[in-house]
Amino acid sequence: MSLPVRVIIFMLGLMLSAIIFELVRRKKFREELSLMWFTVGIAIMASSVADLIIDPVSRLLKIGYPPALVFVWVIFFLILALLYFSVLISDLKGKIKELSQKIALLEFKLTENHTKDDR
Amino acid sequence: MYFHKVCGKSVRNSDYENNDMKYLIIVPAFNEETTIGPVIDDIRHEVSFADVLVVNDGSTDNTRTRALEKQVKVIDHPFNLGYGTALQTGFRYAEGMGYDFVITMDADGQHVPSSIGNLIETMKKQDADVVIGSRFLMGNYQTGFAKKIGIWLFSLIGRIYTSIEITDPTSGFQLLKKNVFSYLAQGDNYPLDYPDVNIIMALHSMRFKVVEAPVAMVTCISGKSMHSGLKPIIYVVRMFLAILLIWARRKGR
Repeated sequence: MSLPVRVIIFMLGLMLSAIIFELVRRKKFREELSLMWFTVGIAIMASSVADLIIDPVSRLLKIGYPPALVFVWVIFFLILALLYFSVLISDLKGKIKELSQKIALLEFKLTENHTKDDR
Repeated sequence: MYFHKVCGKSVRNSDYENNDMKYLIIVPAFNEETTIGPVIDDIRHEVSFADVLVVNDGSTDNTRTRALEKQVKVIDHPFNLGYGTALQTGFRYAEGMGYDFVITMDADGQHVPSSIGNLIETMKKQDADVVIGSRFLMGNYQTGFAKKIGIWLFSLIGRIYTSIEITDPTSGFQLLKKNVFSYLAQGDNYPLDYPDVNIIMALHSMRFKVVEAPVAMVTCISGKSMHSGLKPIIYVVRMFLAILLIWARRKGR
């Protein structure tokens, strides 16, 4: 990789980290989620020098096309992230169900009390 | 179309009126404005000892108004949450109001209210906690080929697991005792969109006594069923998963 390419990739990672930091600062998303995204930002910054690690490792593992190793890692972490979001969504769905049922029952009690008062 | 009664012993109201047991009929309804009125009339006509609760599951039509016109209790979900959740809301209401028995019926008019007597008789005779109304024990109900295979398959799994003869696991026409609906009212105890053999297996593993009773059902009234298109395949896969999970969550594992 040429030096300008490394610099550009590093700057992209830095930019992403800055955006995430700003989003957390403005409380646009919760801190426990930001940890994951900071890792992504750092990973992108690190990838500007990744070939120095990946090329020898792929040679060691006898992988003919080194970027394939990168894809495998990236896809693995993306799947982990998706799994995490699935868990979050399931949890939220359950909570929304509970809340809606509570609201429905409370609303029913309220209107029933009102009709009693009217009589 | 709905007054087309198939058969079934009529409910002698005097048998149940005088005792102190409180019965609640739960009718989950999602966009059933054309059938909900006649269904309630029919229930009222046959059964006078039970209260009727319609759980309006986020209908976008006039289901709520049609039900309120009939002077029944109506609980509204703020949006559609699915059949199982609507039933569970009903169970929670029944638990809170101190009902002793809950009868669940569909709002599309498939279930014939005169069969309620059969359910109650069966519960008394066999001292059961849950009575599932089976359309097949009546012997004259016709159904599609694919559905037949599905019912056969899940019945078989249910029979192997619970050693109970279940001929109609998808039936939403059920009578539940207080201990059962109180259990199902808790948190995640009523998981899937549609109760099927998985619920029967879950109840069995909680040591509730589940039995079947013959009931009359009307063959497909509105034509729209919850099983159409790609859905049956997804349904079967989901049901397998649900069954697998019940097995995996057995006590002592």
